[in-house]
Amino acid sequence: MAVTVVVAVGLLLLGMQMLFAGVDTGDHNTYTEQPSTIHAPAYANATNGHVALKVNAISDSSDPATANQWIKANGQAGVYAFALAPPPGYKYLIANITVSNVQQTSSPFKYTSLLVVAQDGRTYYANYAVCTGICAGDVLKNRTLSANFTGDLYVLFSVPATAEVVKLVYASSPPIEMALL
Amino acid sequence: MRHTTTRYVVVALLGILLISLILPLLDGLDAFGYANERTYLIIFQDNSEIRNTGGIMACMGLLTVYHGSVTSLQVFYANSTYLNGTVKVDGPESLTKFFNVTSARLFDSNVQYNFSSFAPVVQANLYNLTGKRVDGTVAVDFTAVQELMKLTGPMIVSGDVITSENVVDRLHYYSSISQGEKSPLTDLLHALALDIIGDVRGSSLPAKLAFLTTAQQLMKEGHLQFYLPGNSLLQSFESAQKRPAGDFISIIDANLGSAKADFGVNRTVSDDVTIFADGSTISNLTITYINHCWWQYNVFSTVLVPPGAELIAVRNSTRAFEGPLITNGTGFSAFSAHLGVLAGSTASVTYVYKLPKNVHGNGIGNHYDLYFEKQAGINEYTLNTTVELPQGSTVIKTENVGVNQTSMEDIHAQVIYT
Repeated sequence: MAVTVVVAVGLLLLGMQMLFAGVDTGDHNTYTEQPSTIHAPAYANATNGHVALKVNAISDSSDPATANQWIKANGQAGVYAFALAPPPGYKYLIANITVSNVQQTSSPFKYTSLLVVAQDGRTYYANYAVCTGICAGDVLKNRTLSANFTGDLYVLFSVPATAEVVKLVYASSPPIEMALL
Repeated sequence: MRHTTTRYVVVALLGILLISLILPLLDGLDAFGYANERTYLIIFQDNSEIRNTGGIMACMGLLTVYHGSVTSLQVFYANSTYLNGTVKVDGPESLTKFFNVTSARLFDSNVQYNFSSFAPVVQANLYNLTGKRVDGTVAVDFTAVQELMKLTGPMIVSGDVITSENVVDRLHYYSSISQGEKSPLTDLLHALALDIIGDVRGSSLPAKLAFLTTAQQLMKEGHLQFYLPGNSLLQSFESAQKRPAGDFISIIDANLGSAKADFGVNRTVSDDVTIFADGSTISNLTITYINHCWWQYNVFSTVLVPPGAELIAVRNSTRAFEGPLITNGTGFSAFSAHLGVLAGSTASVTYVYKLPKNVHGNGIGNHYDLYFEKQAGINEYTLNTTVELPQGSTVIKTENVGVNQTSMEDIHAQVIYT
């Protein structure tokens, strides 16, 4: 029986090797700054000519005030109910960001292009976002900001419990990089 | 003469060894479509909405391989016409009796107590509804996708960066906005599945070993399940329920319309066993749910214990409680109840039951074995076990008896005593 299992595992490996040939895999999510990146100091307005962003606060979801804000917005207009229970070894950071359309026409905006950068350079893309009222439909579902739109968005990032985030980046063209410290 | 006999024996043994090498190889190659085209049913289970076999069936796919290459992958959303057909549900009795149901939609039909019982049923139902025959079934839950993505690294799907940290939430988001035939969830799962297969295919041997190790761990934890009838190579990886003799506890939960709650619910199982001189036992089993969600968690919980268990008492710490229902099946007795756990609170149910003969003599001393079977799809649980021996007994050995044992797998607790 043991021989059969060893043989089976070996042959499975062999079969996989025959099937799959080639290069290395791995986690490669390290931040590389683009030459065209627009920089903004901590908690200041920044724009790429289409949208303006301002980080108002970023805090751990274990903070009761942060959790309450999230639950209120999620309960009012979330696409689905998101439990603030991070997986073991992780924490949830929630960024309160004011998003504005600086164009007279509608502009595309994807919260999924928001990421935080940790001190070691590793990046963590947004998991989910909530906001209330018209914002929920425009920003979350349609991924579009109507002309002159301004609204507050709560964006959640799952990061390792020990990670300290230093920047929040909107990976647009050109990208906007906002310091957090 | 003796030498000739020895030679025959050696040749026969070498022949057996050679056959044992060749047959699994042929079977293995056959599984990857080297002999004939093979089609597998892939079930994507969302384990944040726990169901009997590991999670609500968010999507199903048909994966066809030929000569080691994927020739087609179709993914269907749960609510699509393809999967929306009604199928007969003739068990388990705990479900059919409690809810008085005899049918379910295909995507909602994973009601058997384990995947190996469900897989042949779903294959037959798929054939009856769609005329599609498959050579096997693979169940992959969202935790498995997340763990595999830790190896592949980020992927870009439809312009979005999908990482191991955000993949589950992206899948949930797309699941929530999916309707009808065309679904962004099926697009995402289709892209992720092909990307992961492509990454494995393109990886170096050490990376392939890492994938294999991860896959084996995911199988042990019930996040990746196989049903490949008749394939000797892969049979050792099949998720068949192998229940050894002894005491056992298997808790099968089904989330009843509580949305994506199960990643926010912690489970603690406490079993206090008293062994009597005649080898019978009384178990005081408490299942505690800690609901970290900001909404109520409703669960239909079934506990499988050895057959012949006599339920003595039930206690519950939640007002929203219906049950218990006692049913019996081949090799088990089942206690079922419906519990509601309020937002941000804790609730529990306790079953006190007696088992007639639960200790066996084996070599030195008496053996009490308790197998705690983790439900597929559950990420983690805590087990507390105490065992009280008959008066005057002497402990020879204990294993996995104690409190706060956190595990992602099954646990075997044992006490040997005289």
